[in-house]
Amino acid sequence: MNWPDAFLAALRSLDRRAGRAALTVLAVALAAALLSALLIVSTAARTRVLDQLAKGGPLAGIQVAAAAPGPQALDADTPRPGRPRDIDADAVRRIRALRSVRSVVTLESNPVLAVAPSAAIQPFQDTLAGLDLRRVRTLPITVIVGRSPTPDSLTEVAVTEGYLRRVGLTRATAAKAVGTEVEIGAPRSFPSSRDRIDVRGRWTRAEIVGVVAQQAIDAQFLGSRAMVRAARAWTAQSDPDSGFELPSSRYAGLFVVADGLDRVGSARASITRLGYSTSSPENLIETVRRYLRVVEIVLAGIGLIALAIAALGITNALLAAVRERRREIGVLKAIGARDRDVRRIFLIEAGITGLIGGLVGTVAGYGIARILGAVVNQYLVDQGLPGVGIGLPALVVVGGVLGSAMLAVLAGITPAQRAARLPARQAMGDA
Amino acid sequence: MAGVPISVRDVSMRYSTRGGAVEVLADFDLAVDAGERLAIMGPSGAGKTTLLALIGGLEAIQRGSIVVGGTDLAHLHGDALAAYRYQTVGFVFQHFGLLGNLSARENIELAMSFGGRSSRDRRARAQLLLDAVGIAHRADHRPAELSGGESQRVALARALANEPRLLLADEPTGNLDGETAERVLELLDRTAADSGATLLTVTHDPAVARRFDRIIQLEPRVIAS
Amino acid sequence: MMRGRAVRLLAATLVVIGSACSRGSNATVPPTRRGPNLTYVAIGNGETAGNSVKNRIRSAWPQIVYRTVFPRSAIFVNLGQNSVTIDEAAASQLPVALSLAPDVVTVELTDDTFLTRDATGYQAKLERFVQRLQRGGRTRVILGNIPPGDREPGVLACTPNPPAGSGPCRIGSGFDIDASNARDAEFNQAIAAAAAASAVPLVDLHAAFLRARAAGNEDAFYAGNDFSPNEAGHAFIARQFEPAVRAALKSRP
Ligand SMILES: Nc1ncnc2c1ncn2[C@@H]1O[C@H](COP(=O)(O)OP(=O)(O)O)[C@@H](O)[C@H]1O
Ligand SMILES: [Mg+2]
Repeated sequence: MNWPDAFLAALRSLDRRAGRAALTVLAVALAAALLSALLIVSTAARTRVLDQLAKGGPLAGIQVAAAAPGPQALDADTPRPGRPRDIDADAVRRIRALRSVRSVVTLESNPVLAVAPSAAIQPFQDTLAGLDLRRVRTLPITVIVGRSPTPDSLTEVAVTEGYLRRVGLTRATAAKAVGTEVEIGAPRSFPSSRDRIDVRGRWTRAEIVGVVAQQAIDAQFLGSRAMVRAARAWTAQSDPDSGFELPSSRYAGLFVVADGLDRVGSARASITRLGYSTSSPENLIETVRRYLRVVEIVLAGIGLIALAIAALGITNALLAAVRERRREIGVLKAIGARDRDVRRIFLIEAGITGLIGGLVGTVAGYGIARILGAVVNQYLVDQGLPGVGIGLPALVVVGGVLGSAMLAVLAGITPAQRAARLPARQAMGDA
Repeated sequence: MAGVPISVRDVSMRYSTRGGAVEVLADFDLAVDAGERLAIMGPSGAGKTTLLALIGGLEAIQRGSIVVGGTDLAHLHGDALAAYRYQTVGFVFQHFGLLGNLSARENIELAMSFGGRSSRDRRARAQLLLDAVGIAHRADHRPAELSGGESQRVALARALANEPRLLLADEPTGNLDGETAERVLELLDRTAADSGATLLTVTHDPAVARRFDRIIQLEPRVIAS
Repeated sequence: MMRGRAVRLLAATLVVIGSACSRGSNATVPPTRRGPNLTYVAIGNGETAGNSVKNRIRSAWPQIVYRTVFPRSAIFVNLGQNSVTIDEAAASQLPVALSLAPDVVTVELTDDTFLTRDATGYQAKLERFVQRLQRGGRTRVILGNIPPGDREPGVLACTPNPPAGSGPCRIGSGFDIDASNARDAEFNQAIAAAAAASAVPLVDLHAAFLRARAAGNEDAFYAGNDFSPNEAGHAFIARQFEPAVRAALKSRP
């Protein structure tokens, strides 16, 4: 008997005992749903927690400040930086050349005066930061609402939570800021006949396209590199004798990605040797990762116990089927079925039960996870925090479906063996 | 295709049950010619079914020898025994023995699925057999939707599916009423004659038995030990 | 039959999984295209700088013109200085303006009326100033003239019968309104002549304020004991400049 024939025969016998088969499938589905929901939720939680630790950037991210290393440089994740130290193009080149460094994104900034739309808010002084926005996804910058500015735009900015506070918004109401216009002026000091500094702004207007959470740069406005460079060019022409304080560092900071989490330490050490202060959440991430793994193992254990119970259900159902069908199995043998043909039919029956149960269960589990995610997100949004993304990890799909099927086949071995061993004489009916 | 000769020599069979050992056959001898049509009679418990099971390769031989068409069944085990049942023997049961989850056609096709036959070949032959036993119009019905007579015709077609050289029928009309039984028997007779297969039929009905070439009578031998 | 059912179940499941995997983007603001990078420079006096309003970055009239007339991609620099003569402005404001290669410049340099009081010399200087600003026609220059000064609260306080609520006179009670008006008229003539000679538009603030006076609105443009317009005054001045700036933008080379 070939596989398709055996498959058809198995399907037919499931079909005949549809009620019981459905119950068995349901048991498997529930177990698979539990397992996959637990795994999906824990994966989402893990991503969310690690994301939070890395501030949306890569886990192997390192922030380099325009400052010399502080005294306890490497022992802490976020050491206090030492005295200011300029980051110039040469420093960037040397850091880029380090073996343990995969990529470097430069951060530039300029002081600006800003005018918010509401007349009730006084113009205020802050910082405009600019960077290669094409790489914003690889930075510890998380978009709360809206999006980040388009990489070349001179008329789009994202604002940070500091801006929200300034204009009386919260994370929960951040969306209100999106779509409004701010006037941003770069200052330049001029020689003045009188004693005071005469400062003139180079004004630009920009639409706020998003609100971001970030700790990479101390700035309320995030724009394109072109935008901040134009501002810097204006400010840099300031009268040197005016006493106006100019940012001297070419780059306000760097965001370095190490060649893997295990290279973060050596990358930080190298950058410290070059004379710059670094910070990175590596120690915290490692610890949290270990805890998360334990939680995942426990959750997976719960799901696996459920699956094991479901597997016992499959065994039980199939044993009952074998007992009921002794004569049919005898007839099968009488008309030429070999032991292995009989075994194959029962194993396939078990496999199909597991496969369908696994599929249904995984989909249901995903649904449950989505619902849980929606509830959690509601809470997070109420708290003004970015929500979690409930994804469907490929591993869960493959594991949930194939795992259930394989477990079911294992559960079917005993009944299948029993069926295969039944004496052919059973065909004659009980004497 | 010609039938097979059968030689049963000194066969003894005992079952051990909770109530003690039951000896069904003792030093039993039987010789059947190729293509012979034999009726087996005897009271209930005489061992008729057991004899068919032994000759059909459904029951392991405890003592003595059974040679069917030159093959000593005592030497067949596992897959070889399955192949013997598949290639040489066609069974007809009193209870029809159809698989309830398959249609008439599929029951017949199933019987052909244990060798290397293509599904197209199986389909064609099943149709041929359905026509031959006059049940083509019920081809897609399941056993539960067939009458006793119709079921036994399907079972007969299935027994004939692999062109057996030995047909074993255990009380094939036991569950059928007189007229239906008559027609099924006629069919069994005719198909066996057409194929030249050796035919062993267990029956209680002397009128039925008379149609066969030879009648043997089994006597119960119950010895408790 | 059974096979069909199983296949359909499988297909449906895959569809569900597939659709669940794809996630929509949540961009809420469509990306803006980069428009032309217009540059607007305001050259002028303390009023241009917005010295008289509480919040000059928000309320100075050039800032309003920038906000309301120019596209978002435009750049704006306000070079206005308090009490500046045209000579001083030619040294301090003009080079910066030229370095910005502006598309539109508004010029409101009228403090000479009380600083140098030399209207004849002023006209030639203004013409020269405008000509340098124009950069061979690449910059549209718009001139503004002197609004009437005789209703400024700071001036009224120095009249023999100051209106009730006036503060102390801060420019000497000998202040001669008529002489001041005459000088303003002289300067406005010089400005008009310079505009005509340079073929640049003139925004006649003097006439506009007189029209507002006739309509009974002018007093609302000043606050307290001052010589300069308040927020409402600045908004009014911005409105006077807007048509000329719009026209200048349209006629840009
Ligand atoms: N598997 C078995 N275990 C125990 N006893 C059996 C078994 N099969 C048949 N017998 C006994 O063998 C005897 C002969 O049975 P069977 O061959 O079915 O007789 P018949 O078909 O002639 O009625 C009966 O007494 C029956 O109880
Ligand atoms: Mg019997």
